[in-house]
Amino acid sequence: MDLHNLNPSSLKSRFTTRFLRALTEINARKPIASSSSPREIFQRYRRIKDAADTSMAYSVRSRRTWSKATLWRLRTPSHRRRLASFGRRSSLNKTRTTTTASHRGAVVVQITSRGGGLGVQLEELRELVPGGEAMDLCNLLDETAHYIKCLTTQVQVMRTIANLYSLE
Amino acid sequence: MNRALPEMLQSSDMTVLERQRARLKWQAEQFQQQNYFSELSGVFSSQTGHVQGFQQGCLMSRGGARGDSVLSDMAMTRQLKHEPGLETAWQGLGKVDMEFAPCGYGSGPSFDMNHAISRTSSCPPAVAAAAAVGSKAVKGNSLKMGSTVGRVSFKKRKVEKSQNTEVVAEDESKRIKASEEERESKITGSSTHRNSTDKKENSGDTSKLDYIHVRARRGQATDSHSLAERVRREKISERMKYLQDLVPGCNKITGKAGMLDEIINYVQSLQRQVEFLSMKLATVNPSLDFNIENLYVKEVLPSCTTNFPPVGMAPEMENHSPYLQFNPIQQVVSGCGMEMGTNSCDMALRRTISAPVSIPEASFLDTSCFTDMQQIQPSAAWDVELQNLYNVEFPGSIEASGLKMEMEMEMHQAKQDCFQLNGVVSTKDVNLLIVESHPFHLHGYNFFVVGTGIRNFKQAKGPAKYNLVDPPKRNMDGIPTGGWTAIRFRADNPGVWFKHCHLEVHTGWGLKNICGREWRRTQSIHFASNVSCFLYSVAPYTAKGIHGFL
Repeated sequence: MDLHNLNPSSLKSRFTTRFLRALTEINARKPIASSSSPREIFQRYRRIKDAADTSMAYSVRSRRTWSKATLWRLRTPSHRRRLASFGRRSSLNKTRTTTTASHRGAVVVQITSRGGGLGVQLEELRELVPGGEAMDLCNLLDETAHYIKCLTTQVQVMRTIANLYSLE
Repeated sequence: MNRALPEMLQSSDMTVLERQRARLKWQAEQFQQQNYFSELSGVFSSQTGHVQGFQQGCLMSRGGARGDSVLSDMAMTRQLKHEPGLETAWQGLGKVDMEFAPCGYGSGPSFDMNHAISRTSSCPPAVAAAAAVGSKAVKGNSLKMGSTVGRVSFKKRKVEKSQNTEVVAEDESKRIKASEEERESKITGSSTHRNSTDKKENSGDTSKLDYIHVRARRGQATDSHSLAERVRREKISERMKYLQDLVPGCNKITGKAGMLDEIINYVQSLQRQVEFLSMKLATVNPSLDFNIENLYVKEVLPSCTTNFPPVGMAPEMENHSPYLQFNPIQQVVSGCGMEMGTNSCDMALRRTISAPVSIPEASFLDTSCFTDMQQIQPSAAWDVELQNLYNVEFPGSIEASGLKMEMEMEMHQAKQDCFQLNGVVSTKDVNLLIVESHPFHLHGYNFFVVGTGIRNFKQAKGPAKYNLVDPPKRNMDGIPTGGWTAIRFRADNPGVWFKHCHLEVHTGWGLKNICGREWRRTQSIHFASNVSCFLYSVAPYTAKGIHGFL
């Protein structure tokens, strides 16, 4: 990660700048004391994690469904989110059953689980990838690929930062 | 009739030329060599009663009216969009020809022709006339004439724009061969919504076009639903292949289910790594500002090696730094606060980590254990192994929310200078918040299982129930779901020993730690064997080699 090779507009550099800014902000708000209670450290951890996710999603600029979903998740308070997702999930289940029925003919598809062992894993993948409930398999795989790429970048950068500052 | 054809050809010549020029500008990048074209005309000139010739003759008789980009039209109907007047005509012709190209040899030419003509209801009269002309020239001779006419006009056009046709010619030759190989056994009736895929070339283009072209193979259903389904399946498999490249270590896995499993595991591990790293950052006390220039100045790998000297590791450790480098970099597969190797030395150095660090419950599912040194003697700080990393709290506990995992090492020393050697170790492995029990395995020792239980280990009640009379002796034991197991053994086998969850993937995720004895002095064999376990299991997602070392 040296200055010459770094492309200023790459995902990695965008994420790095944002994340560092967020970290400085967090540290400025509550400087870490030598003896902080676990609760404080936990809160701090949550803030840092949210900052990391947000900065990653921002760097992707809402071009992707998962980034939009992450930003939305981190912005709206949980009660409003719960109501919205409830409506969304029920309508989605309906659409999913109709499409599968049309393709599979007489196969009856239940709302909660798709036919075959693939369905269970699909549900898991949908849960993992933010915003994954709203997509069919094709787009879901696309999103997953991009999400994996961004996560690896995020992990790389955070690891560098952590190693760097743990030496001090 | 036969006269009508060349006249029609003549009349349509100009427009065809113009059209072709426009089209070829659009296709400018796909030039082929001349030999394809000559091959094509050679093929056309073989006017035997062979069906191949027939097919091409048909195509040419059609194509005579349209030039050489017959089959390319089939594939790229989009190019006709800018020629709206003839669009329907081309499409109609395209459909006709599509039906010709894969037609079986079983039915005679006339049958096919009639079929084709009966379908081209949407064709404009000029085309229908050509078709009618073609149909009247059913016998081989007239076809030949038609084809020769086509060839003549074809060659005329060849003179005019030689290079442009190569593309199409190549398409055509390929497709003619392809159609030879896969002949449809039946011609279905749904012509209007006919999809035909060129499986070779245009899979990349199909995304751009409005029409998705699918070629039906022998014996496959050709109604629109199954074709659409096939297209969808191909897209999905394409994406799965891409994901296979992205996720490390799944080259050998075939099948969607296995791949999905791998993908899910990988995404989970990445998310846990993020959480672990943010936890680490939360505890880090930055002496400098978070400044991006500092990042640029320092580099990752050397920073890990510089970690060792300040930590005061014995010189032997330097030799193993290539191995140990793995740990700080790669270890965080689990994201659960399990650290091993050097990082724990790092941690031990910062002995101020008495303040427990809490890790939230949601993310941390499986961590079997970590150690908590109760009696750390300063001299033995390095001898005593890699322990004591984080104290994590149970959810709902008073202090903080989060997981609590704790493993106590009670070291009873036999002798002062051999701190670990021949000491009795009693450890308790805790398995919390997990949906399954974990079999954990300790290299190098057989231990006695003195107690087990569910839920939290309570210091007061737990040890009281220990079975110290005749405990079972093993080197692998299962920790019950949401519970704990207490083991004891005599640490008489010097070295660094691997202790891990025996489920392969969990090892890769970090459900492991090391109990080392005499870290400094006995790094040789055991360490190497353990470290090679490390190398396999710590590097993310290559946790398959672990069994070789057990």
